[in-house]
Amino acid sequence: MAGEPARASASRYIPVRGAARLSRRIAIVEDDQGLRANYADVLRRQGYDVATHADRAAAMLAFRTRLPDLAILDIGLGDEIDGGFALCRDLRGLSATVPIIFLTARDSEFDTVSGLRLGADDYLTKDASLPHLLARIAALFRRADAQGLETQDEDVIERGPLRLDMKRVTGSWNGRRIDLTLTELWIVHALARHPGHVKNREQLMGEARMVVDDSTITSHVKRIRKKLTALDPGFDRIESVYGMGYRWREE
Amino acid sequence: MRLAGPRLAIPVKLALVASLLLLIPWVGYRYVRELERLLLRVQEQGLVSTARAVATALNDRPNVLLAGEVYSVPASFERDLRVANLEKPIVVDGRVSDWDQPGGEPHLEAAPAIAGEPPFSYRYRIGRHGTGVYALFEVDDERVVLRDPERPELGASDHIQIAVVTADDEFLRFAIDARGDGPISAWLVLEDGSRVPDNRILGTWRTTATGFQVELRLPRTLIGPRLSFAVVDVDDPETRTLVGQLGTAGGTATREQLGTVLVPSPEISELIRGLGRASSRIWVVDVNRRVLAHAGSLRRPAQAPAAETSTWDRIAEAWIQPLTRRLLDEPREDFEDVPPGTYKQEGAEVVSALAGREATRWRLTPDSRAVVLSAAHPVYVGEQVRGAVLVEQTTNDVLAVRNREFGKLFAAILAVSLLGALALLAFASRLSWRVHRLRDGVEQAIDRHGRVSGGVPGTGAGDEIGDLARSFASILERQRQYTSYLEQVGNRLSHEIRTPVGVVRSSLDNLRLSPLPEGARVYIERADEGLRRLATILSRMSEATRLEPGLAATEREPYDMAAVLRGCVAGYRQANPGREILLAEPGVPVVVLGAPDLMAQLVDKLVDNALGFARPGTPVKVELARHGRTAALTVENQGSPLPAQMIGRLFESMVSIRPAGGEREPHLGLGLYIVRLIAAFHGGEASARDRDGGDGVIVLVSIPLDSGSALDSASRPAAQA
Repeated sequence: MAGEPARASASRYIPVRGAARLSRRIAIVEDDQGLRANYADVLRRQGYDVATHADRAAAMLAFRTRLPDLAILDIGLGDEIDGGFALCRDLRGLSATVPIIFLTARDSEFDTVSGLRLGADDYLTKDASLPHLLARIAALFRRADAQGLETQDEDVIERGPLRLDMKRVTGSWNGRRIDLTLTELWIVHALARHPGHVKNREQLMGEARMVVDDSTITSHVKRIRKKLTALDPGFDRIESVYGMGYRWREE
Repeated sequence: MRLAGPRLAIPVKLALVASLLLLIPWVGYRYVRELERLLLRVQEQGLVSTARAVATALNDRPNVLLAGEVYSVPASFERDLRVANLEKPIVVDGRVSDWDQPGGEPHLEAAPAIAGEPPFSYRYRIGRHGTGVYALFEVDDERVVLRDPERPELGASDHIQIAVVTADDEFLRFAIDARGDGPISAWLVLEDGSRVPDNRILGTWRTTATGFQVELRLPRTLIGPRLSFAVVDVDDPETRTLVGQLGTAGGTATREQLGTVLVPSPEISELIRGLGRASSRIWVVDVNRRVLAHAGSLRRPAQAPAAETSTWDRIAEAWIQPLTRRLLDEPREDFEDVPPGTYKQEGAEVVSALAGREATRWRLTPDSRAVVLSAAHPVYVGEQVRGAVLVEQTTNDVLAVRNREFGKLFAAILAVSLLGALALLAFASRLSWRVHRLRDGVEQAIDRHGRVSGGVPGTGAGDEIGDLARSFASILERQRQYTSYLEQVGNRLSHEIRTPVGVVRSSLDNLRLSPLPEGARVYIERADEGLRRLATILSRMSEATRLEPGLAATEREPYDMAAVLRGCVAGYRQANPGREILLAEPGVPVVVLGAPDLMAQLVDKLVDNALGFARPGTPVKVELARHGRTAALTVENQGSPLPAQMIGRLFESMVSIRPAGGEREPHLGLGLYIVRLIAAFHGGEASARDRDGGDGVIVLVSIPLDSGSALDSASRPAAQA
């Protein structure tokens, strides 16, 4: 049950060049030189202004001088095994709003939870293809710009108490904002768009623009449930269909 | 591993070695025997010394030894008349009772017939007390003829004749008769045969059932060196003829016929009584081996039990003595002794002593119940041997000492041996137990999946077994590290490779975004495909190791396994059109405690495997059943059986039985390992076997049913399971 559809659908999410016209500044903190250069190249090609840093000290120095519009962090930075986590915490200290994406080789549940808890907006493993990464970056900028955008009806999904605004990249439950990561938001979106339809894991991966294994999807769904249950203890809309996937239950 | 064939366990070996301890009692026995020999020699020497001491006391005291004439008379024992010194007075009343004292025993020697063929017999007792010499005659006579006043002549009735040579060397003869029970009549018989009454001799006549008894008292002054008695029997009261005559000597008619009077000197008796010791007997004999005096007894006085007996003694008494009695003779006091009236001592040691050489002798009592040790020493008057002292003693004292000592020694040896044996046994048992524990510990330290699951016991001990345990522990630790490394290697590898894969991927993505010649695109596609497979490998490699820490954090909840299975199978049918997947489930909720997501993952792996191994065109069968308190999930496929050498290892990490190559999907052999982890998380286990007939494989997962929950999962939405 490998994710064949995920790759097939990936190319649809390559954003148009125009999306980068604002010339946003993206900081990449990555200790692997080749990877850093590749990310920088593709982002520059997309019109972003890219600053690359190899370690925590250099990155922090630059952040203090000027905050990036978005930061892509690796967790292990040179000798610092958890340098990325510390950097994330420091950056959040500098700004509560700047979008942060972890892009790391570490895929354990513990690392994922730790990263998100430190205030990261998304957590990607290095399996992620560049188009997936670009889609995320674009979405996160869109969310940052949400105030200035007018919401079109076709970008909004309402399913009972659930309201997803894909333009602003936000979701709410009974009017209260759900603090979802980008991946989680996309998963909820994929489920809620066609209530009652079982979405298998491949489909969800495609929607969420990621290539991960089954248990990662399960973890994501678990976290989504937890966040919604925190808002509404009676929440039971996401239904597991074992062996097949998940579906959004209608009232 | 255990070796076949007979083995000797450590305790048995030690017991064999410890059996050498049994030599100690044997050595002890030998030692006590040696001690006994020594004691007997000491006793012998002691007896010789006693004999010598007594003899020394008697040396050169002829008056003490004997009156003079004895020595000149040839030994003719039947004519000797031994007059005992009586301690208690005798009442002359014709009764025997007051003779019941030392020296009062009847003389047993056969009385010589002086005349005729006497149809009667008699016994006599004679003794001395104070100024009197007393004699008692017990005569067995069918017809007692008393003196008839009508026939008063001498010899016309039953009577007793007495002949003496007085101290003044005067030869006197007396006759004693009676007219009935009561005082006797004593007559002095003159040389012409006539008689005159004589009042020096007193006596009493008693007729008894078997004859008559005469008790006499003679004044001591009347008795000189020679004396003879004779009993004269008359049976026919009409004819009054003499039927027979028995006497203590050859006769009473002439001086020469008389016997010798042997009067033990009170001085000798006193002397040896003073020298006598308990349980020994001293005899003094003259040159003719006649007993002059004796004192003491061979029998030991009954020993009063010791006032204070220690517990140890009582234990020895109760437990040890029965044992020692079997090994050693117990001294007995009920042996047969020489008769008290014995007056000859003819043992070799006496003969030797009378020949001038002191000697000792060992002899058994006639009934063989005791051994008597005797020592004899000559008594000198001047240069001449005039007698001998004989000292006798049984070896019972020595035997008693020997037995007591042996008993103590035996008890001590027994106690020491027992303690030693027990200590050795305990030691050996403990040793054996420790080795067994170590063996079991080592065997159990590695579970059947090859994982080091426990420690080795006994590593704290400071001895060689502790060393062994530590050595095992260290080996197991290395094994554990190695196993752990093997299990982690996938995760590390995937982690380490992920970054270079990211470099390749991002490079390809960059290339794709650049203008490329048309021919290059196909290579990018191929590289992309390779990369995808590589990513799948990485993901699977880390899946198992990522699962384990996740399991620890996962909460268990009751859920219906059947519902999970139904959903899963529906999904597989959808995902694998054209493949036949059969499902058999009990139709009632099968509630277990665990995580449904994980169960779905487990079923995924099993069905994925089964589909991969099933012969094309054959179905895969999934079955859930309840067996008692267990839910049994089986996934069955037709096809090749399990390779025999892999059966025990199927569920280990990175063990794959798939043929190498030829497939697009990479296989790392982690699927069944994950199955095992999840089954274990549910408290169950997984196993695999061939189908009956060897056509295919059945994998069985047993999960205990949730006993604590009354959940009716049919009424509960599966979504929230």
